[in-house]
Amino acid sequence: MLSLIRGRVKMLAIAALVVLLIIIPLQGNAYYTSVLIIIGIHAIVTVGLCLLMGYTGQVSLGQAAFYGLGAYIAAVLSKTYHLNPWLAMAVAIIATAAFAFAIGFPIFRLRGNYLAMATLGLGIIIWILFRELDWITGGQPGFLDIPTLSIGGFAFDSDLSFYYLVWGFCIAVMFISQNIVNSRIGRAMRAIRDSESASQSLGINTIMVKAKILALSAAYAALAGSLYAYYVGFIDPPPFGFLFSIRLVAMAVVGGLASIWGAIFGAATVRLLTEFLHPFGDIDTVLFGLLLMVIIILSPQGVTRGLGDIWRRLSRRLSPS
Amino acid sequence: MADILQMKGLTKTFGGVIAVNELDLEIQEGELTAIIGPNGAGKTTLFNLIAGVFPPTSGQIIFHGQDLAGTNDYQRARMGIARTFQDVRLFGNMSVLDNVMVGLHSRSKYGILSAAFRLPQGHREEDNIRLTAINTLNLVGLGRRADINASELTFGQQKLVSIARALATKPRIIMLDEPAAGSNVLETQEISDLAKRILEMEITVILVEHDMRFVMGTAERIVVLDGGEKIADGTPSQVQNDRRVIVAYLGEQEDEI
Repeated sequence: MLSLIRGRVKMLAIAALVVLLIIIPLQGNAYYTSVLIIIGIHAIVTVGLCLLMGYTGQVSLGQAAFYGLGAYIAAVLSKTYHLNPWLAMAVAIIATAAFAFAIGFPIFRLRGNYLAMATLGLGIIIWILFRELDWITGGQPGFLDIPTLSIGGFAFDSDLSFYYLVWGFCIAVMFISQNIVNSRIGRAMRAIRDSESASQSLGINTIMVKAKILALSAAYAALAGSLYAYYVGFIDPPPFGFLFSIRLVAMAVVGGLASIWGAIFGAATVRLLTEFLHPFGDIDTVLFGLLLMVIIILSPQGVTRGLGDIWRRLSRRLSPS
Repeated sequence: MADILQMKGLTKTFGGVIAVNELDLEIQEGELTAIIGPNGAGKTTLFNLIAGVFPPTSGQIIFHGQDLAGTNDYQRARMGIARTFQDVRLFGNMSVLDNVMVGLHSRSKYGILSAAFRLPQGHREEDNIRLTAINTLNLVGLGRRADINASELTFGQQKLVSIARALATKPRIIMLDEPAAGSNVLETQEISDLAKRILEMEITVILVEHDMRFVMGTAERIVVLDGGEKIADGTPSQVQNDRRVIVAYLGEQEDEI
């Protein structure tokens, strides 16, 4: 009964959110609209990280690399090879997911801090490739004049139209993720998070499940990355580096790791904080670094269980006994 | 009856320590076998070898006539070898029912796409998974606790859920690692009854247990291990009177008490 009421409340909240998202850009402030587009793009990456970290219990400190792969593949295919931007986007998503799936098998032999280091290294290597393969990617100066998406004669070349496109994708990704979490796959993910050995003993191929979820999160990141490339029309390496990976982890943590819709909240909070702190230079990076340090110190098992641990500690301290 | 499981010259060493030494053992289909022995006798190592957690140093395990070499734990679970753990290892952040439903993972197949877009195949399978899990939970008498968090159960109840979870995989053989440890007299009796009910479902049972009253009252056959070797094998009364068993448990030069 309680879960039924909770389900109703959640559906209402989601409906309210969707209505809000439809109305907001109508106020006409171009700056807010552009910030909201970026939040939507980041929320898509964040929810993938939530599936991986919050539900499956696997850290990734290299998620920005998948985001970058999506952006660069879509940009290069549509500009250099004149592929239809939608097709380029689909190829970017599939190729990035396939790459993540393949890398999942060796990388998920590692656990905890070793996994964190490996994903960190992967992210840095790919980032360096973006910078150094300049005959493909444009290197440091960047990659210019990326075409934009269009359907029939309608081009998504205004902020308003792109806003609805991004949030349409974002809401779809949220529903898809919610469905996965509520399925047999979602149960296997949570089982792996709670006890990998028990999951194996029940016939779950844990490395396979982890590799699939990494591939899914990479597909989301690539979708977001290609949207970013088409929106801005220009990409260069900095947005796809280590700092963005850390910021993505911060978004996932703020949103509540094991929460799908929380990803939007997390992405919005971190992004808005960055916007507000903009006048003070790079202080936001310091802040997110500090946030993660606090979590790692409070939770020696690593970042993943940080929020749960803090919550448990707090509730123990606050409980009357 | 036929042997469901045969171990031939099974040996496992950890560094210099021999945990299981040249063990030859057959488990008959449909029998309830207890494996007992002092601490460090190699009982849990034997379970881990059968379950495929790690490979043996040498020797063979044959299940239904098939050599298990080269298969790992999740593959053996799919082949019909289920097990529980001494330290239970429930999925603590999931409901009791979800724990048992995880057990049906390998007996269902709908994938990520069916899940993502809620295709009818997933719906049908999910209904079956739920129903089977509820039935399995009722079998261990915990149907009414289906919706609470697994970590909120008592230790004894958690053990029962872990048995239900293993049974959900539809095994041919189930290995129970100290099912009665930490349980009171009443719960111990329930677990003994449950073990016999599992046997009636045509599932072979092997269990490791220290509670002798439980073992003597439950098992049809007792295998005694000491130092990784089999020192006795027979009915409860045969084993109880075996001189080597008494020595292993109580030490040499034991006088009448």
